[in-house]
Amino acid sequence: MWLAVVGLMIGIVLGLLIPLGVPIAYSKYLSVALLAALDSVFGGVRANMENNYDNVIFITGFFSNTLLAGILAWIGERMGVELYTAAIFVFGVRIFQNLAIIRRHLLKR
Amino acid sequence: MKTIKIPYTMLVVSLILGFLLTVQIRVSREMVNAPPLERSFELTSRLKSLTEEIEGLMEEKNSLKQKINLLEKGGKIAEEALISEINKNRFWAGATPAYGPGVRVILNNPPGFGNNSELFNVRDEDLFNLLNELKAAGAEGIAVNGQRVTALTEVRMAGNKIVVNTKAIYPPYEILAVGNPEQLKTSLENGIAATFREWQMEVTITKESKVVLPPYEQELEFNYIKPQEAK
Repeated sequence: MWLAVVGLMIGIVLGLLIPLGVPIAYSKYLSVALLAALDSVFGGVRANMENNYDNVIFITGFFSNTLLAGILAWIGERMGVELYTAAIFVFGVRIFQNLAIIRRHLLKR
Repeated sequence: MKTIKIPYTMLVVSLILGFLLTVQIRVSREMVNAPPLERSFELTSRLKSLTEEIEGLMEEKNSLKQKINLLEKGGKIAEEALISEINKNRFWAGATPAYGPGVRVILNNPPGFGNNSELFNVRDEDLFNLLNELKAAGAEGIAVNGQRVTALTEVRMAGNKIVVNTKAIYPPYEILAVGNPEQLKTSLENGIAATFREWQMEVTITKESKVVLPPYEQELEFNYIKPQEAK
């Protein structure tokens, strides 16, 4: 748990230090991918608390969700269907669910 | 909490997450200041269409330029043709200097016969006959004492002087004629020159490989004559 927070901190600092930009046209995809990544991390934390954490599932889930969300948003853009709203909805719901479960685990302790 | 069980992948993953998060935040902050996406698309497509338009106009410009070149060339050719036509006509009218092989005839009054010497001098009709003989012998251009003989040239007496092209000329008379030198000389020697010599006038005829004729200097004035259209 603390490792996750520490990693997050380091990542934020790195992001601030490295002036790496993404073209504005791609920032939409990045935002969806970010949501997926956020979901994966919360899922990992939750699985860890439930003692059924699997490293491989976590890693593959993180990358595939992130990529898939980005690709979905891109395809949606091409098709004229705003598919990224589906990704936002799904990941948003899951993030809240995971957060609720994490909160309960923390409170139970 | 079983934090020990969490491997370093969690660290790496949350590191990536944090990094992406900050990048996204920074980009979206820039996006607020940047013009909206639709505007940039619109501008891009407009730029494209304008570039195409420019290319089309450039092509048009090139083709028009070629046309202009062609026309200029055509105009130049026409101008050259007209100028050469004018020059040819001026040459035919005797308004330009001309040269060619021919003969030089020096005709002088007989040496003195006392008080009545003027009676035996060269008269307009003598000179006129000489010019006529030259023309008959194929002379293509004639000048008398620097006066070009043209279709309108008169030869007549005014007082005791001969007038050619309204200019008085004085002996010795120098007649230049362009033509076949052999033919000109022979026809003069066998004809009119012999008569002149009989009258004691001094006549010398020399063949020349090149005689230069001056141009007709009077203004050509046509007040009454009009061209008749060929039918």
